Amino acid sequence: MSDGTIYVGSMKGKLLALQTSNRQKLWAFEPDSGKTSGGLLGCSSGGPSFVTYGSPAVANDIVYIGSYEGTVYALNAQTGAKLWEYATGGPIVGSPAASGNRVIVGSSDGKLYALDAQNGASVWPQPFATGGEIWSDAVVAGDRVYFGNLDHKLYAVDLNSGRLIWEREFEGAIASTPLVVGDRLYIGSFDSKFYALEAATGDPVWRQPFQAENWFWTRPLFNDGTIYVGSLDHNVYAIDADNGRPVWEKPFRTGGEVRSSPIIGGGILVVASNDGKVYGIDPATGTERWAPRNLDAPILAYPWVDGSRVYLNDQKNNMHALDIETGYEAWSIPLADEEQR
Amino acid sequence: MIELWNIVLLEPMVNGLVIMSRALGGSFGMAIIALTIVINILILPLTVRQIRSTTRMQSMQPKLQEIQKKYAKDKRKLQQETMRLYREAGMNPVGCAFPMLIQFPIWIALYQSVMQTLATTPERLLELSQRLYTWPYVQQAIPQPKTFLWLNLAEPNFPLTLLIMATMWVTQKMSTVPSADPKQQQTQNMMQWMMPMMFGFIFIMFPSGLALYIVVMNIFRMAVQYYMVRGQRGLASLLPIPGRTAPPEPQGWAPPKQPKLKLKGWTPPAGPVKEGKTTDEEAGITNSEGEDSGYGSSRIKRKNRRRGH
Repeated sequence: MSDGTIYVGSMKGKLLALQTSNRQKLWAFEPDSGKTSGGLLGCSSGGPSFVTYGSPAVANDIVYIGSYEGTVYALNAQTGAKLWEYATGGPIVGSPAASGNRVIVGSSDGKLYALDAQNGASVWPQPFATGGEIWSDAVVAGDRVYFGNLDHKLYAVDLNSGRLIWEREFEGAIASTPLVVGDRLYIGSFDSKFYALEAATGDPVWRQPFQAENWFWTRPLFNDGTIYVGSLDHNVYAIDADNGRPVWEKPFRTGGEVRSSPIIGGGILVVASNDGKVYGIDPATGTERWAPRNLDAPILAYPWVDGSRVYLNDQKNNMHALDIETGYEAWSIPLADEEQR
Repeated sequence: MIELWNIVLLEPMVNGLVIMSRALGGSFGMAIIALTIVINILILPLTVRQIRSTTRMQSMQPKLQEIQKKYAKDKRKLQQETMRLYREAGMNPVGCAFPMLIQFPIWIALYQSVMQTLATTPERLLELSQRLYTWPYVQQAIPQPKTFLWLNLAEPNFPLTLLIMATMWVTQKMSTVPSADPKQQQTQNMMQWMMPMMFGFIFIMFPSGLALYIVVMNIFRMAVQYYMVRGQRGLASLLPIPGRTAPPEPQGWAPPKQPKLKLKGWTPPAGPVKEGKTTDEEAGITNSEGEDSGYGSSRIKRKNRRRGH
């Protein structure tokens, strides 16, 4: 989201730019219009070639998005015109990170790419190769790139040279987004543990990691000394960033896996769950602030807050705007209709 | 119902595959092969029964055709006589299909297991997270490697589909008793090609992990069939040996020496049945009780022996 415009990738093969003020479509991007994945031996029409899982990154009036068919696209944020594209060797699941004149993106081919933000040329002598698929978002902090990998490792790579600074192996795969706060890095793993590490060295900070009952696979949120993170065990946890101890008396229980990231607006913690409901929670106590709003479709994508509203995209391809104070649904539009217009 | 399916079949299969994969050095392909062997050993009695039933069913064809000819205009009588023939032979006409039918839920669960365990999309991986047991041994084995030999187990593979067709053709060929009746032979020939073609058409659209299961299952079945017929109608029969023709009359089926069954309108086929030994006995085909599959013959002989004949 940027300047009152939402950039949202649909599961139907398009990237849309919508104005939140009037819900009008600014543009829709579709690579090679009408092109599909082909289907088996050409016997079927196949699926759309442009499917996105990660969130777009916006910088300097350019939108960057990675698609599941493996291509990174740079689009003009005003018109949706394609500026450049870069093909990786595998599906892109995580979100790209734009920093300075670079775009960093990981691919399922196991490589982390650093591309020139203006022309898409590869910046590093060669992409940083790992031993597994990269589904985690890459995070740039200072001159370092941090990202998790399904090979159970967390990597810190030099932004300028693409060389490894450190790597740390865990018991579970890592598809979560690393959270960097000051000199610390927080990350959740498929081993159901949440870790605090020294960003400089990768050494553990807490005496023992925070333990949940299922995988961590989301982007955590830091606010006022507390980390808020959802888990696939259906719970939302508030963890003391200093010592890894729970802040709330008990975790906040939702009806489904929490893959979407928590977000705070107007003093309310908003969490969307795979049960199709959106929850408004008191960040201090972990108690409910408003009755869960049922959107009737699982929510996996990260939400955005703009002013008094939170925007969410569900798995049935609908965009919702909720009032953050009350949870009241201000509007909802099917993105498929917007694609047709 | 869906929950029951997940708990009873899907989750044990998903976790079993993950455990086997980890135990077998992190090879999901080896886990599928191991699972196939385990499942096929478990249903071996049914498979053996099916092979026997198929053979016996084919050997009954002349008699069935005779009945069909005789009662062509009386459908009810035809049905009665057909059922009577089956009953007297101690056969269940749907018995042949049962082992195949019982495998359908396994195939469906395996398809779901392969798709979920290999989890090529975030949605699948999310589903997998809810199917895995909380044991660290299982949790730490995620994600599973998608490649095995030259295969991406999550995607269809054309050469493996051809292998399914080839192994299925061989299995069919091994279980088919050549017939002297040209019409029946023509039907058999058609079926022999149709089944592999049908499976090929279906499995070219499925992930090769599932196709691997079918190939291993076919090879397992070939081995069982070969053992059962001890080479007489086994692999050797597939070779185009010059001068070899179909046996004169239905192998695997012989008329009872003592016509205790008293089948109406039945005359023994003109095949070379040796004294005291049926063609089934020669072929080593016996039923689940250790009797000959030539229905009636051994049973009657045994009864007669007991009666002191």
